[in-house]
This record gives sequence, structure tokens and C-alpha cells, in this order.
Amino acid sequence: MSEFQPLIDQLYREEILRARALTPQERLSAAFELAPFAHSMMYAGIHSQYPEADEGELLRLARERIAKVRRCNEWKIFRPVGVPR
Amino acid sequence: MTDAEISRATLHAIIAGGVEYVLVGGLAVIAHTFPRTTMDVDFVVAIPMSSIERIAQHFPPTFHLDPQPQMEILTGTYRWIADVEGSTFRVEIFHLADDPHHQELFRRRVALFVPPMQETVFIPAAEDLVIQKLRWARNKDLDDARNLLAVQAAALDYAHIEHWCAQHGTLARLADVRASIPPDL
Repeated sequence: MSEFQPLIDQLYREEILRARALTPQERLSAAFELAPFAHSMMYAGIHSQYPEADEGELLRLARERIAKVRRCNEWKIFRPVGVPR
Repeated sequence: MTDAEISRATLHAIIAGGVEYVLVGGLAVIAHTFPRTTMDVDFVVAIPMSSIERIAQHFPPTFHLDPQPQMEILTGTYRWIADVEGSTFRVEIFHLADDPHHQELFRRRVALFVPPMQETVFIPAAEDLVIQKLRWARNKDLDDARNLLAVQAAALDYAHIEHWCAQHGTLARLADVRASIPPDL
């Protein structure tokens, strides 16, 4: 067990107790509010790597980055197929 | 379009097509756990495989549906993907398969008003998300299962979860995830 396990458990406990205090509607509203901030952080990271990139190039690079994550998540799980009759 | 607008437009297309559905994936987990980001909106729809156009015809013109579906290898479930112009957020539409637990998840879905989508939306019961996540068992699925079990705790029907985990051979996985939750939660 990690020497940090008691701290990890305490942080997790606090996270779960905060979650229990929210309604499902509050959780989903907060998630959608979080999305633009998360996107802006990702775009800021890409922009720092590619300072010359314009808006279209930033979107292309963001899509490329997310596609890598999706490929990793879906590896050996999904495969293309035709529509069965 | 924002992620909420994409989710709402997808839901409206499904409703306009007269199709029964359940919202799954990250957004459904969020409703039962806590706010986090997700990269897509996922719906399971009850339509014949050849009828995806019933939904797609109601998509906004900025939605681009890949006509070639993909198959999820574990249960044989089919999925279509739509990309949205100007966004990295995407739409995933899953065909409701004959898989017994998929049918059960659909039967037990619950209605929930979602303010950002300005609609009442059907989502799976928390127990069925736990069962599903334990079956997929990627790292992120096991994290979701743990969070669902920890947040919902006493509200869960454990007999239901254990019944389906026994069917799927995932009882040991369930025990491992439960053992990873601090005991005083």
C-alpha cells in the first residue's frame, strides 16, 4: 500500500461526500459548465505548442489529440462493419 | 455549438424520429456521481438497424453521420458516430441489442429533467451502469463503477447488481471494486 493511501482515502471521501450533496440535475449542469473551461485549457496547451496555429489549425490539432485518446480507449473493443440486413 | 447544444439537438432528433432511447455513457454516469468532462454524448436507441435515417434526418446540417456503423466486440452492439462541425464533442448512437442486460437496462431506465438540455431525459438506473462498467472493465470503467458504488451506496439494489454480475462472470471484479472504497463511506 502506498504511504499516501490515508491521504488518498481522505481526498476520495471528501469528493464523494460533496457528490452526494448534489442533485443529478446539479451534477449535469456543472459538467456542461465545466466543458468550455476544459476545452479552453486544452486549446491553451495546444497553442503553447503551436503558437503559429490559426483557429482552424487549433481545432484540427485538438481533434487529432482526442482521436488518439479515443483510439486508445476503444482499442480491441470496436471494429467497423456493414449494416446487417 | 456547445456540448449542451449538441446533446440537446441529438435528443431532439431522436424524439422527432419517434424513437425510444436511453442516454448512456459519461453523461449518465455524471448524473449518478459528480461533475466531470466527457468527450461525447451517447444514446442507445430502439430502432431496426436499417432505420438510423429516422434520427439522422432530424440532425442539424452541421452534424455529419458516418453511414458505416462499428460493432462493439463484447456484446455485438452496433454504433454510429456523428461529428459536429467546429467541435471536438461528438455524438454516438448505439443500437439496442438483444443482449439480455442491455434489454434490462433499457427496461429499468429512469426519467430525469436536465436543465442544460431543457428536456426530461431517460438515463439508466445506477445499478445497471455499475453492471455495464464492470463488464467493460477498462481502467476508466472501473473508476466509474467505483464512483457509482461510492456515491450511491445505500441507495443501490445490490441483489440486482450481484445477479447480473453472476451472469457476466464479474462478481470477483465487483468485490475488488467494492474493497477499494473506504469502509466509512
